[in-house]
Amino acid sequence: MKLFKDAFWLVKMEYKQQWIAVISTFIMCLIVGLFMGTFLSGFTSFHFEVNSTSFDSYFLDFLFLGLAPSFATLSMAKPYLSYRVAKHNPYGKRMAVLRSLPISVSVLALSRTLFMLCTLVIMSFAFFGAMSIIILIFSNNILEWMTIGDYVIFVFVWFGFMLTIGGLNPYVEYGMKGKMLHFIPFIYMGFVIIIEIIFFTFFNQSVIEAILQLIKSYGFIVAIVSILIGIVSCYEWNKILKRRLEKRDYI
Amino acid sequence: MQTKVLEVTGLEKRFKKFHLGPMDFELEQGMIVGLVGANGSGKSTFLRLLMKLMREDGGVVKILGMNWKEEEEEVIYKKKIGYAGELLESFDSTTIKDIKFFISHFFPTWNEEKFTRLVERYRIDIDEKFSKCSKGTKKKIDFIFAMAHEPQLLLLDEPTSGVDIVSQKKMKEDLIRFMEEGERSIVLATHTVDEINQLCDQIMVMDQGRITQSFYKDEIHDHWGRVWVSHITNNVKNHPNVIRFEVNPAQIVTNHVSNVEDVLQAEQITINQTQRLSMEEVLEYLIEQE
Repeated sequence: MKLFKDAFWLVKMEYKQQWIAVISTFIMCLIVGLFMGTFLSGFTSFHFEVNSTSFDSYFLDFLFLGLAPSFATLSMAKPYLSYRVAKHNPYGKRMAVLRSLPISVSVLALSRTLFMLCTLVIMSFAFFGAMSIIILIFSNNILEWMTIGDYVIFVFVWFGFMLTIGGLNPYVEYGMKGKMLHFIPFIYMGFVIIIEIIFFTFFNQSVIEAILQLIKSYGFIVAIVSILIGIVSCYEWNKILKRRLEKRDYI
Repeated sequence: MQTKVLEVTGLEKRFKKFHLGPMDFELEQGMIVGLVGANGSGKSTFLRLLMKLMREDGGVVKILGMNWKEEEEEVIYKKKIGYAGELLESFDSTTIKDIKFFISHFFPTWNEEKFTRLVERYRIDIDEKFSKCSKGTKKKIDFIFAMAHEPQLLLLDEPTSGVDIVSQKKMKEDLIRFMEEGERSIVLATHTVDEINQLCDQIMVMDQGRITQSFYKDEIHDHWGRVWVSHITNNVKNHPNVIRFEVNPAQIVTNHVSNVEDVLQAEQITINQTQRLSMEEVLEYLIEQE
């Protein structure tokens, strides 16, 4: 219990100190949510059959897959916006102070994971909330090919994915050199492109189409599996981060 | 009763262009050890390794009788250590008051009265943001945070560097008072001769990541000297206690005056004059010698 109490105290302090970045990231998520909602509402159809080559669905894949990690961190914080700031390794320096204090590495790693989780919940609330409002207002198109139930499952599936990938953020921030904050997104986008190529080559459809197809076939189980994978991933990311915090040089 | 505050055995850290150690180091309770050495000799790295800000490549450390590697024990001993090592840069946008609120949370022994007294003594405005403070003020803040939780062991990395003369004097006074308040110890990395003269019991010279020499301050005063002589023979030139010699006028710098005097007598060399060296001169020789 003390572990969680100490970790939550650190999370609280972090939010207190980073309140500007919290608000700006929240606004960014709202805007992205509004954009995605508008984009989805204008969508005429998804192609669940093979040979789908709709450009829009691939573009949507890039948006969903590409933006997923940014909801689990304060992506409007200065180090993310400026390479010059990131280069000076602000997160590493912050961790150096924490490591010099009488705080166990377990508490530090847990606090970062909890911060990631809390941020993900807040930011995905903004993102999905804004997206859902637009979809509900302009529901004519989208609800022709997707029920509200399907949409809710879709949101949970996507939240599970964000949970799975979100643990990457604390690792990059506190386990790597500052400039990696600006290099890792390119590497990640490279992975997204590979995944897209794989889906296009082997399934002839986009990831989102494949997920919607799974939702149509298996319903809420897809969301449960996605969230479970997310939870296990968070646990594993936390272990990896703890190991890294123990081993890295901070200065 | 615990008398050894710090026991370091075979501590090593390898970088691409620098290798610290293997280092053996012991610190007794009630002692102040001064770490001296040229820039880049490894003083700061050694202190950072002790604080676990860097991962060692080998060696064992016991701090305040506790195992360095146990996570639980690390938390306990860090509560008893005051470290000043210029880490607070990441709190640039935070006020001193807020940094204090954050740091003090982790120290059950935090002495608020002492903190207030020290910030008043050093004329620190606690409502000021850390980024707005001068280099010297940042050093003083570092020093105050290291002192305010009543640690048993202070690890100070050049605490007076860039600090005004009046505050330097106050810091020395505070360190003397700190030592008088109980069974406490200090490891002080410094380039300041006054600090060594006025504070340190023992001096360790570091060079290229190793402790090359270790002396008690009294030993230096007793043994180091410059001896003017009639002439210098080869036996004298090659004597291990002769640090440096000059032929014209003939003179020797030695780290053991009485030993060298015996040799000079045996060689039938006349001693014209003997002078003890100041700490500054000794340190100059020690650091240059490496």
